[in-house]
Amino acid sequence: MLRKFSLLVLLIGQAFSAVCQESYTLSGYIRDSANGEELIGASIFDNTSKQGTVTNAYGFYSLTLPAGKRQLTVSYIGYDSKKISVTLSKNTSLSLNLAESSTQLEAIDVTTSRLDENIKSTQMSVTTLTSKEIKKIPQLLGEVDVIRTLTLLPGISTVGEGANGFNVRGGNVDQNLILLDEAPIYSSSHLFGFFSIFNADAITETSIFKGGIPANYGGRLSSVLDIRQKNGNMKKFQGDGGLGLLSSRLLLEGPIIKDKMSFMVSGRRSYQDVFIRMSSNEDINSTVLYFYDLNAKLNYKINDKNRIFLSGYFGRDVFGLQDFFSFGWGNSTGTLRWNSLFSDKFFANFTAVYSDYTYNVGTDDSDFANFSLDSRIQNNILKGDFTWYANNDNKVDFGYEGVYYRFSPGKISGSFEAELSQEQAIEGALYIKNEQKVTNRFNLSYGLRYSGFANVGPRTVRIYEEGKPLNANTAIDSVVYGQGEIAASYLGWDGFEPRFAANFMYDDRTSFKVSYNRTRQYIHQVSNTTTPTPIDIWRPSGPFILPSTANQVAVGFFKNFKDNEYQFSVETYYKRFDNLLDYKDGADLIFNDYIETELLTGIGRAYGLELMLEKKIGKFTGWISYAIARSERLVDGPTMEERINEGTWYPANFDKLHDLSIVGTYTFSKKCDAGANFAFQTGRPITFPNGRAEFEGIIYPVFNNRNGARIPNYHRLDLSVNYNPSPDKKKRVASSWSFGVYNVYARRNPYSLFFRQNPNMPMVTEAVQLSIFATAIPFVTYNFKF
Amino acid sequence: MTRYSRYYKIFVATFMVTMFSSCQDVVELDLPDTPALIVINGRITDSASDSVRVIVSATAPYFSQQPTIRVSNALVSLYENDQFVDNLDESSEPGVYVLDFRGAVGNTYHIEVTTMEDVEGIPPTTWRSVPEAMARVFEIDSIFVDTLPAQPPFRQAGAYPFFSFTEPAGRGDFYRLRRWVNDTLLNNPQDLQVFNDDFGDGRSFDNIDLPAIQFTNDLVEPGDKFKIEISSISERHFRFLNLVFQQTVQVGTTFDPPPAAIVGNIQNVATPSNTALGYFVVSAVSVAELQVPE
Repeated sequence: MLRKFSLLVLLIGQAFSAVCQESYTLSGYIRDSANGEELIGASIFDNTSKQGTVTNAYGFYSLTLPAGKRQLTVSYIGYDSKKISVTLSKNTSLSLNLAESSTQLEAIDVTTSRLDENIKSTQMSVTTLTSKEIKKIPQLLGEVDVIRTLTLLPGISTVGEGANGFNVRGGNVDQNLILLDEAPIYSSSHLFGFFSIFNADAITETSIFKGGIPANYGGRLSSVLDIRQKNGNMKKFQGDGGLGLLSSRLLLEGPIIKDKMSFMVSGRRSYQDVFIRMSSNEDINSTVLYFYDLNAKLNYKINDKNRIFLSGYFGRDVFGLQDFFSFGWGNSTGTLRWNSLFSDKFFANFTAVYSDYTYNVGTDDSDFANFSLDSRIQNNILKGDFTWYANNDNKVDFGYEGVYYRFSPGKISGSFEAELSQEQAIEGALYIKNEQKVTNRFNLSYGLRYSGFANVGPRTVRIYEEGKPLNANTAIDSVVYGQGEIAASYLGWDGFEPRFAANFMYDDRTSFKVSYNRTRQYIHQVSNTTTPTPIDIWRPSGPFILPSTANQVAVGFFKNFKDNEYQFSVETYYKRFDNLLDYKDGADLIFNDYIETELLTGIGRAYGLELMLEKKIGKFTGWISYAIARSERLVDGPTMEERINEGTWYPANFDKLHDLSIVGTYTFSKKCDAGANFAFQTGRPITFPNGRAEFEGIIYPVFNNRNGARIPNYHRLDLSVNYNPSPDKKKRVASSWSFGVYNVYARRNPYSLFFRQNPNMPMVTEAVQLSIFATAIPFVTYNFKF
Repeated sequence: MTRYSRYYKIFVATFMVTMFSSCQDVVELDLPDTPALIVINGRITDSASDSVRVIVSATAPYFSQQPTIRVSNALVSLYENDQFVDNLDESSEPGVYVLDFRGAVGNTYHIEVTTMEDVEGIPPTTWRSVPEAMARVFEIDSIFVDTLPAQPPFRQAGAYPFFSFTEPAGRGDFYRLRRWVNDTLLNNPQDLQVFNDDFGDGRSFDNIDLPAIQFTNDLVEPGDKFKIEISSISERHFRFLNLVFQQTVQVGTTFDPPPAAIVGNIQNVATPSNTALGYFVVSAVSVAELQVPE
């Protein structure tokens, strides 16, 4: 640790021993001229001095240049480049607008700042997608789905179709930090995992970090999914909408004060409940089943140096069986951000976030034995992020983050009254990182994050006999912690999370990268099912649940061909997990106040090789990605009760050796484009029975080799066509259609494989394969814009 | 909470059926041959009409489709408060051992089973159940028929059987319900019904304080005969039965608990970490019967 620290100090020292000369700073924002939306990752380059930079997540840039006349090129992919001449004789504020390219066919719709950004940046294991890109890819029932699209990238997968959440490089679903305008999201799925909660109309771009996670992110082990909502059109009022088979959506945006204040509001609601009610089958028509989302944002430019954003999300799934039983869950978030330019070299962003995830299960109040179960996790977050553009070779980011958690795992009211103990926790973090251009061909990014955590009262904590498994029989006493008293804290050396990335460019089209990151996670989703359910609770680290950590090393080779038209990458990684939660056989996790008696602690390892070939320009675009990977777990406690698979390594539920995706879109004309994707994956692990035993005439399977077998391989082809008729200039509304088929060749992909006693012949035991999408599923969506 | 988790499963199943074109296919698999294991099941109660009964068998390949192999000529001994009581005799049914003995609430009981010969490759050895205390059980106050309105798709309007009782005060009681309809024990995996007093400690399930318990979803027919048995069980057995239920009924979706070894309370005497399958149950029982008039 000391050696790493010394190296860091040395690098920082070198970084700022810059040679002084007369130079001035040019800074400002780069925006879309049509709607005033800031462009993230837009490039500004001085052709005279060959210095350049890109805009940050808020569209801001700062570039220090020698005094005198400068010839600048401002560019952004999909937009017409702009050349301007500026004479620098003092620090200058210069905001610029770019117009969307009129030759869209030749342009591309990705937001990587430059086509060679993948070569020049130190960042590896990251992908950014825009809504435009995602909308061109065939989707289930035509619902534009951010997360389903991400699973077509190497290293990102799910347990299966309809699984809740996603897995990144061998990590559990709860190890993904999902941020919507910086607010954490706890359940990213609607309808038990079939669709994601993110309405593609309301978001500008989606970035996922699988490795080399920058120091400004923390709190989860495996990935960061950073989704930004639209700011709202500053120039004119406009709307977008669509009618699909599953849901309809409408987005409105426009200026409240032109070029000063704008809004965006977007809603989406599914209406399968309407169709369900039409069914003559009483089993079906008694079901209530729908979801809705509401996204909103207010954007106010106080002056050239200060800006405020207020954004929110509210979404919910509602299920019910008449008035017999109801079930609902959803996220609510609110984000208030203040961007401030303290100087032309110092950018600050202050954020306050509220995030709330709730679920409720209950019966009708008039029921004699009615009950209602409510569970909730709330966060309040305050953070500050600062960027100091020290010079053109060094950009320093630093900041702080404080999170207050309140966990209310369960409260039952009605005929029965009961409540699980609430838990409170505080998480704090500080970070600093520097992006350093050491030479023209060698770039570094290094940083350090420190995080700490405290589980605070009021609460009562059981004490168990030392060295014994935790269960009711070994509980010997309890301790009561008062309001604010610390029940457990994690503030030691383990809280340091170094992050490092290096990029060596062999030439302008070839680079080698290496990265290392240590991540730490203090809150955990308690779930022993193959994929988490919306009713799985989150619990903080505390006296019995330790923080989890992961260390990941990744090495990559990047090569662009044909003037960056084709991009190839190969990355390999090794990841080690410590203190992962696992569960005793038959664990009872529902409404259990002593959840520690059901938990085990284990370690994990994941390693793999990821290949990607992408075509970024032209009428035909797309990618081929392939990953070969392993993810395994080991739980080897001191007693049999505390071991899984007798203390030997076993595959994680989402371990898939091969994962291949081929994605392509072809633009025939401005009116028409078509998309296709093909996916192949090794079947997920499953446990086969080693025999059968009998208990009072009931035959049950005997299992002793967890995840020792696999379900059959998965593969699927989807096709789609988007048709955009020429807009009728007399009408203010432009419309378009999307058609397609999911699972074109109707493969019965196995969703699960299970073993049962034949209901009619009790002596017969059989294996049954369940397929969810057992046929081709067509879709059509009507979209409009005004 | 079992009821609650079952509702959840109904929801998931309904969702999949209504939303998508799901289908189930019985498939043929080659499962590897694995060594057999000993299975010991038995029960002692406080009822004068029950004998102590122990069945010793072995596991079979999962797709064997034959009754599991019974183990004869074993020495099966009963202990009360760690004192030897008597050996059980093998009945005319191979592998079934019985003893005419009645347990008492408050006492602990266990058995020892010594196999005398190789069984499917399992060498002779001695097994012992973890001693369990016979816990109290409540009396069933009444068993009766009541009419209910329709609640589609779950229930038709008509008469259904119920029973009422008062749960004794003091947390930590676990129970099992067994049901006979027209002298036939309902004995499918989904008939494994257990409950505890987490949410109803000391309460009366009598249609005044809380609803009485409806014990089948089938309409009562004239002449129907019902019998119910409530037995007190240990927390360990409660978990065992829940696990058997999970592993036989809660299967088929990714929201199900993972396959798990169903470990009972039978341990090898020489190596206690080596467990046999099965359970020796210690229960006090309470029984009620109802004959519906023709």
